[in-house]
Amino acid sequence: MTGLVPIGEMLTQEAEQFASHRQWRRAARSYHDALAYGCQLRRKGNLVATLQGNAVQAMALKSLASRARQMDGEAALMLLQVLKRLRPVRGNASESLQQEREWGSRQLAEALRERKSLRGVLRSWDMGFERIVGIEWEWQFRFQPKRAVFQTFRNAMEELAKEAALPHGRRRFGLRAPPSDIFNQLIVSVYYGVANAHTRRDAYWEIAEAQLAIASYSSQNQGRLPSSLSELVPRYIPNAPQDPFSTGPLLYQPKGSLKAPLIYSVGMNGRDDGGKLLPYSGPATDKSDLGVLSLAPH
Amino acid sequence: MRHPRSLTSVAAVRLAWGALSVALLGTAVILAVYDHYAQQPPDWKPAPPSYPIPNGYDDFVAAAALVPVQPNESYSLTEAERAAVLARARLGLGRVCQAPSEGTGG
Repeated sequence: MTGLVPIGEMLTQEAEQFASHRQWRRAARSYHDALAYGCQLRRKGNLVATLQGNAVQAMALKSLASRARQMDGEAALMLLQVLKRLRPVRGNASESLQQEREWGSRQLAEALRERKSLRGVLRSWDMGFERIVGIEWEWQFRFQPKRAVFQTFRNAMEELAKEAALPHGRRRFGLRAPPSDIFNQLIVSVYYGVANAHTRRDAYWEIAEAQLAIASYSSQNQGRLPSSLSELVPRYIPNAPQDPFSTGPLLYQPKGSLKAPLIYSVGMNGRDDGGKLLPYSGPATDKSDLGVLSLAPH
Repeated sequence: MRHPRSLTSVAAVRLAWGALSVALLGTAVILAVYDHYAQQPPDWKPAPPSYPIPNGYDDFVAAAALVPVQPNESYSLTEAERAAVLARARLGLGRVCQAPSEGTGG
């Protein structure tokens, strides 16, 4: 990890510090900067840049969602505007895969022009294959027609980018048919998780927006919570927040397990597990939903 | 006087060697031709990347260089150092930003 992600972390920590002192305007600015940084960092970059940008965005969104209840209505509205403004530039999976396709094509074409072996290319992409790619594969790499390998890479990435543009439920995990050459079989499989990583980020985005909308609603209604998320429409948010992991809206429990409003996505398994969230930001398990626990108001 | 059977055997052996040599040579030629074909690099040429000047990404990288990230991914900064890092990163936020499309990009 380079120092690029820690900068996003520092911006988020700065926002949390301001928030803990109820300096909402300054906190809102820091949250804005953290999210804008996450959007900028990945702009037109390769997969590494995309993942760094996504990590920063997710970090800021989780913090924002957890602290929304502590905010005053004005700060919450201000941050809702920030999320609305940044939404079009936050980046998506299909775009990321297209960018990676161009980056990868450039790297591959240059390496092959320099007569580098495919094994050498795998090593230079630093995806961990050097540990599993043995010398016994050298002949396979040697005799694979390089132009065909190159074209297969471009076609496979194009297909993955198209798949990633589909809603989560209609997406295929991987390609219609595996690539015929060993190089692409290894490389392309790395990109299978890109779409899901973005869907997770999208879910956090929707949850943060919904939590902010609830905070605004609550401050303008003497602390009362909406009975359903549709009560927030259209005054606070234009549409009921959709769950990117399902075909329905995000799920809402006005009094969640900690007597706080809980908004959650069904997560990877596509099933409502009753709002059972993981206590840490690890990979989703088969029996968990995706959400953020709210901190109690000051 | 030569035995006719010996003559036939010698000729057969010579013929076999000849055929084998031709086959080996042919295989070598085929392999060489195939290898030449297989090693042809793609003729795809990307458009040269154009970056904004100044590029906000350069400010991010400069700010990141001020963060001494340890191998265990931890870092420790004084308030003043932290402020300098964030100021440099914010400079980049005010500019058009484009991540590199060359090199490792990370």
